[in-house]
Amino acid sequence: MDMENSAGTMTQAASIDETVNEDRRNFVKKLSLTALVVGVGGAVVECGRFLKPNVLYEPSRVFKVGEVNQFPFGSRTVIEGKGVEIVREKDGVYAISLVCTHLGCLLKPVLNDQEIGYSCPCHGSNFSPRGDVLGGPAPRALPWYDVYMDNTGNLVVDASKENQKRTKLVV
Amino acid sequence: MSESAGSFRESISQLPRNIKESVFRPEEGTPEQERAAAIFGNVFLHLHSVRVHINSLRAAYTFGLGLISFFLFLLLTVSGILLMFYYTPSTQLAYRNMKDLEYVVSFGIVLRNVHRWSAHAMVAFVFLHMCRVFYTGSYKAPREFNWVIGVCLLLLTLFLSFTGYLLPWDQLAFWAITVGSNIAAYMPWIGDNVRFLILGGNEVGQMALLRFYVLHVALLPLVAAILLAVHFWRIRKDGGLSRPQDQSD
Amino acid sequence: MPHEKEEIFPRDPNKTYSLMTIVDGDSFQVEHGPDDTLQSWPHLMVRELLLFLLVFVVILGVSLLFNAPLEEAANPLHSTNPAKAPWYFVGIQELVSYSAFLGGIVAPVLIVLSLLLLPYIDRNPKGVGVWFSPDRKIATLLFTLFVIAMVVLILIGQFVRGPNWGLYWPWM
Repeated sequence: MDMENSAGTMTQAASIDETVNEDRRNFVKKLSLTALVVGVGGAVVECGRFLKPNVLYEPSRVFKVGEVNQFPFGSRTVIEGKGVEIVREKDGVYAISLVCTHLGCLLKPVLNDQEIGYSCPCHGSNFSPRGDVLGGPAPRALPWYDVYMDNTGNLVVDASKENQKRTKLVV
Repeated sequence: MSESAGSFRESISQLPRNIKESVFRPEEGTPEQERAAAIFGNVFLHLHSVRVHINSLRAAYTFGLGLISFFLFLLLTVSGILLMFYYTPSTQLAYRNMKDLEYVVSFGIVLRNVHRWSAHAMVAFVFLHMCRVFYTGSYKAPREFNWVIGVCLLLLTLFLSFTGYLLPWDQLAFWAITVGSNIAAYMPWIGDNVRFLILGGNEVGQMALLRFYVLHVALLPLVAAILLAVHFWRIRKDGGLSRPQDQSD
Repeated sequence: MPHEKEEIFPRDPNKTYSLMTIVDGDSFQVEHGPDDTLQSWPHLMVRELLLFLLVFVVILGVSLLFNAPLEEAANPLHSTNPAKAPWYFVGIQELVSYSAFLGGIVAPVLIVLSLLLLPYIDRNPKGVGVWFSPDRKIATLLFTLFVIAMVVLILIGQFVRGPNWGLYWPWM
């Protein structure tokens, strides 16, 4: 009997401020859920930094290609292993990327062709000698990289910087 | 003293039987109960139900495609573990290891062939299995979630195959992965970061080889094995293989 | 022995047999209707074992006859021409050769998403357990188109594409 009585008063008491309690409960629930998601999610994202290597043992993106005399006027010289071609023209020198802008295959310079300068063996994109897209799936023109001459007279290519304006280095 | 000696002699004479009984849980009863116990009393077999519908046994209904995929997974696991004894995930050594497997290691070339052909076959059979499940309408309620797990397993099969593709470190591998990782780079916003994370760098090199190796031999097979267990268990829980409704009930 | 429980097998005037009595059974089948099931051991297990042996023998036979391909060592200085993905990805590669974003990201994501959501979109409960059920012609047709498209793309990518990803007939 006693038990029943106390249970009855309990439910009564609960029903009186039921609405208040529910709101409070929902609020606390949402708050703790948000805290959990933010906390765990943030921790996971931060742990993802572990997978991002901070030191890369890759060849430098800035490299010497040799003295200017090695590139006579009108020559196009592929720098092996760097994915870059040095072009020397009457009005200057520039370095053009040989990595296809489509999916990163190595472009083959096309000789004896007036229009097509490079073609991609993977998906058949064609580029003009200046690097503009002539056909195929490539989305962008080939980037030109920064070229400068260091104090020893060697040409240096900085493949981490794109030469947006496509200026030639006057030597 | 004599008692303990006798029990010792007894335990020696009963050793084979006692060992056998401790390994195979003894179940006594009618023949039917014993056969049922053969299934549910075994951790490897209890994913099966004790009884199966005749329809599930019709070869022309399933063609055993799912089972074949699973058996290929088993063959791949065994041959893959054996190949790991002779493989080093290093750009200097990986290709030489391939040549060693071909010319120096006993049965090395056969193991590599088994691994490669099973991998190709598994992709094909998983796809065929999916076609079977679709054409028989077996993804409908209550089997929806098992279909979803199946699609995840198809993706895992493709990832496993793709990560394994780089490991021989030959021309085919190098350029296929170069192309594949550059496709990932086309993802909007996060593409370049994803590519950097997959390869562990800007180009396909030592870090990429190591990452693909770890994914191929540890992470992906583990996830696949877990999902396979869930996949099989769900078959039983969802009422066995699908069958026409009006036949038995 | 008349049983007071609910009727398990309703009397059917079309049948020449009827339930006479219910006795204590000795299996899990007590109080179940007759069904078309068999014991997994040995009926299913023996078949599974035989299938495994078949798979093993076939794979071993193929492995003894044909060697897995191995090209020359990886060389970042020279891309192969053409550079092809593994056969199950050349279909995607064929799409990628038209547009990397549409073919390489959008199409695969759409395919995977529609496969994942398929059972929640197709709620037609009919046609379970029958090959090519006439109750679901549209679904069968759509999926067949998908399969044919995949196969054709893979065949084109694998056999018709040659150097520079140009079209070459395999017999030329």
